[in-house]
Amino acid sequence: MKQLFERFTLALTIALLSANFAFAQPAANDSDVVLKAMQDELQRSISKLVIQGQEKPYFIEYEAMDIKTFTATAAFGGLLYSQRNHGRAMMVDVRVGGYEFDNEPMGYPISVAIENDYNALRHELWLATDAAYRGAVEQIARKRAFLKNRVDEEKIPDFSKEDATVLLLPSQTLSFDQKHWETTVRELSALFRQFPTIKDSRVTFQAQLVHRYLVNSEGTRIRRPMMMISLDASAAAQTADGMWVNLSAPFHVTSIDQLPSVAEITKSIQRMAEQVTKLQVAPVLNETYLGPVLFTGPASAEMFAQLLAPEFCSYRPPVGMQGEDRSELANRLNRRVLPFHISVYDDPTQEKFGDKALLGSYKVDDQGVSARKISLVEQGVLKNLLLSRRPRKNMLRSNGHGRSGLNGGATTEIGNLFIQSSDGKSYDQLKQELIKMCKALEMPYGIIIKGGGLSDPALTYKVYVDDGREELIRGVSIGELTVKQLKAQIIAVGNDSYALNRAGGGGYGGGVSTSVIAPSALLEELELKKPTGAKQKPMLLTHPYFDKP
Amino acid sequence: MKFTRYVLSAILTISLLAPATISQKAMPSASKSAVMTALQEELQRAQKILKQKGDPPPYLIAYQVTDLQQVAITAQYGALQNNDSGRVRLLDVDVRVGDYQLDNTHRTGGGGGYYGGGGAMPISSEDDLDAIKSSLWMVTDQKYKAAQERLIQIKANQAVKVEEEDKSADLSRETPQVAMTPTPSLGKIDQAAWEKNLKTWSAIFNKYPEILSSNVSFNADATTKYLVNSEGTAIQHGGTRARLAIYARTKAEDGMELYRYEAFDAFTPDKLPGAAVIVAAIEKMAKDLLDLRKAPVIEPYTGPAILSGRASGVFFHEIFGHRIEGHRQKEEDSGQTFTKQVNKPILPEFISVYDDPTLKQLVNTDLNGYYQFDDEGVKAQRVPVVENGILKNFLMSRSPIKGFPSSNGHGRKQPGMRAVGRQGNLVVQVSKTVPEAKLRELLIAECKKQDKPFGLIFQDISGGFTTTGRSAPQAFQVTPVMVYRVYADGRPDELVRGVDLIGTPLTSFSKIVAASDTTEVFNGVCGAESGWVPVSAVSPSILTTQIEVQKKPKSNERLPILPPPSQDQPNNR
Repeated sequence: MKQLFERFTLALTIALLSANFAFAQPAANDSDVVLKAMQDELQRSISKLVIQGQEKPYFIEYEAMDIKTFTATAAFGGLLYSQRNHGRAMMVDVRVGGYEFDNEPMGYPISVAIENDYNALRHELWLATDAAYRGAVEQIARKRAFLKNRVDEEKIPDFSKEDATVLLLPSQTLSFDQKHWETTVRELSALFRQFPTIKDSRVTFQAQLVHRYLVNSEGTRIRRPMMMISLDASAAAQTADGMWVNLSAPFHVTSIDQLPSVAEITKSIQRMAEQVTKLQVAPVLNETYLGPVLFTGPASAEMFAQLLAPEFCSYRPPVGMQGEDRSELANRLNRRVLPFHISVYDDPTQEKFGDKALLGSYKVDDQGVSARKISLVEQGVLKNLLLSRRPRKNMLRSNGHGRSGLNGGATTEIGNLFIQSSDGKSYDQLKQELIKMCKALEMPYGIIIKGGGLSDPALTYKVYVDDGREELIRGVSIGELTVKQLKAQIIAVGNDSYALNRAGGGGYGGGVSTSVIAPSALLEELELKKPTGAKQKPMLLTHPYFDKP
Repeated sequence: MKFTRYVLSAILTISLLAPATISQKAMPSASKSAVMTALQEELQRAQKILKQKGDPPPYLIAYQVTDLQQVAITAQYGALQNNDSGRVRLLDVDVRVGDYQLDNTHRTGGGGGYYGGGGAMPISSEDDLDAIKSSLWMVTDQKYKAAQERLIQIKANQAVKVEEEDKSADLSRETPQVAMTPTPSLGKIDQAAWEKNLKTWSAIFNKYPEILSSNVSFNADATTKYLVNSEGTAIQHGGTRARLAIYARTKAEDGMELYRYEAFDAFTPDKLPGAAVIVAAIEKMAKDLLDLRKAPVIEPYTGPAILSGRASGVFFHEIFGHRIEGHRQKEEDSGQTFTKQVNKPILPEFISVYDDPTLKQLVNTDLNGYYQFDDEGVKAQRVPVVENGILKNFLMSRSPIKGFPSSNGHGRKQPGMRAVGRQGNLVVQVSKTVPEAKLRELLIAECKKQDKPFGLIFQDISGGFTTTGRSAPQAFQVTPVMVYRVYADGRPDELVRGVDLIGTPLTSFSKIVAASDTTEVFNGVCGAESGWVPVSAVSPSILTTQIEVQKKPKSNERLPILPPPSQDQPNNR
């Protein structure tokens, strides 16, 4: 009980620190019907639910996600659809056995009433809990049978015991001017009427408000609203040799008022469209390139997101399940994994970077464990890993990184990953360094990647060593690059920081939203391949708007 | 994990089916709509360009746009579960290379002429010509190239394989149709009133703790279909539909899952039955389920049975109707039950069966399978399938089969699929009838004749087209739900549960000996290769001298351990 009280105080402090939210009523008086239905059915289940002769649940958790979404998509000046949806899903987690050894459940969402109807919600929870408990009893029996003739060398607990957290943030409403955004999206999509090269384009506005509720038998009670507003434009063009080139201009913010003005968005879309137009006539890489590559801006952040971020998030799969610990770095604790001047930490508690709202921010994770800053790499040495309530060897407690998308089923995931250097260089210095390396290798040009990911470096430039001029090229693919190579590969990093928001898919089946804040990085030697394989023939038909008699 | 996907897809369905309201630009009152203009102009342009540059040029291009406006509201246990409404326009493009005899849709390795849909694409739901047109050309180009490639593969395949049994063409030649009917509208739907009603009705089940889950839903849609093709067809037609459905599920003490589903269909919401009828249906459903829980499990049985008009309708639709769909007769991997039975007796002489999509109503009921044109632009028409017991015809799309070179207006599909021969309004007609009560006497007489202690009455059968939003679709599965034993010695009828039809259900048709003078309509939505389409099945009650049933395998899941929360003592912590 003492634990619980302390946590409550902590939660209160967190809430008061937040400027955006006023704190909700104290728990005892909270009249939230959803929460009350969850709590009451949880209480009933944990105290009474048992099949005679079988073990009782030692842990029950209910999670509810109330999802309100508005999406308007337009193309070429016409709305394709504009829809409002409201859905609510519940997930039930029932564990039998104990923290050391349990049934390792995998929950799944069920769709429930969208109204705050106490009886209807409890009814669904009742049925789902019953099914989950039966499943749990069978699962643990299967697991025991599976392990009967196997030697389990590492006795790692299945589930971490955590303190109760109470965080009841006030509910929010999703209010915006639907007509205005329909008009805006329609008008923005009509911008592409000025770009005859662009064959296909879309503009989508999405406003999503998710209320996540979590209650468990340890005493945790959480209600937190999460708002995400996205505006995304994408455009594609086909080159004379049949290759498709495409770019997008995404904006992700956490409230409508953070969106740039329509004038600014217009400019940004026009810039993107101009870049697609340039890409469409850009030359291809005509030979295989083997040499230094400078990643900068979003391309660098994306490179770190794809290569480095998953390494901190290894997740031990349940017993008997296929799949292994996927991290290559997990067994390199206290070893150097990056250049000495680089440090990495994850901090979900940081809500903004400069003016930019960070999508990977949260106060408690999706298992109800409070968020905190975790130092991962210090002076190049791996110090820690991110943890959910799934313990690892010698890492028995969560550090607030158990996260799930809108499907539930938390695994380990980053929040806001910061990559920093004590020895950052300016962009000009990095570019000069790149040119110097190329000269030493007697190469006529080097490569700078300014946009896109490792699998699709959409904005790739040749930098000529003689005069430093940059030339956009297309169709490049990057050869193998592993996280283990990074230590040796990173020659220098920038003194800049680009905050990349990675939205976890606005709708269903989407993963979690994260942010990666990273400097530019100069890599010693990458292989870049020219486009291969049979290309599509250019289209026979023409765009009717640009081909009017 | 698979289950997770399923549940999610159920949630996702809401958003796919029901994109919400769009700020609508005024619908043009002019006879020719923007969609029609855009489709025709783009069709002409594509045809012209591909004629010059295509190698070989397509011999047919067809555009179809389905404009869907929908409202879907569901309530359970007295609370709203969803209320989604919306509008979407979906584009289907068909480009065919080759010729009518052999084209890119030919199915290699048996039968042909319909394979592959490719999915529908949302296009501008606003009447902006440039915006609508901008969506058509690229898909046309992609489809054309895919068709070119496919035809080369097909020709290569034909060169190395044995000759096909059915050498019918891949596409029939049809008279182009031109028609322009006004855009249908649902009018003003009072969503708040529907919400309130559905909540009230769904709360009735709260009285019955044995009923584990239930819901009541309202769906309405207005659909306009635009179809143009390079043969000269230009059609704009459509209609509205409304459905009120009730679903409830319980479990018997031995773990057997029991459920009931009932739906009311009409062309407009105001023609749906009133509250009194719906409340009575819910109470009846609850009573049926409670009775079913206590009913004995059926033992294996072969003998005479009566199928009510609705049960017989479902039975005919599933067991018979799907076998007379034209394309099945040339699928070399299909049963082809009737392929070679044309002009031969397949049913008793007093039975005729026809499918007539042009019927709007029968026995005062709106028919779900009504339409003016099929999805290939062929005019709907009445097709006599069986005349006095003799098989005469199949339900034909534009994919011909041996002896049936033309469509008879039954090429149907949902957006994104390719049309195949499907049922519309399947009607079973009998030339001699007896009063309903007499049919029962005949059943008892037949029992005595066969020396059986009892016969069966199938009051309700759930078919593949009565699936609910929440339980898995059971396409083609025929599940008898309300089945009674009628004792020869005059004891009262007895409800039984767990009935599963076995044997060759078709033999039951050949053993039909009598039919009643009352006809019933079953409205539903039928799912098959070309997706979900609305259908009806109409039949009198029938008496067959032989039906074979067995015990349905039951789930071993027991009843929930705890009582429902509403029935439990409050917690005193």
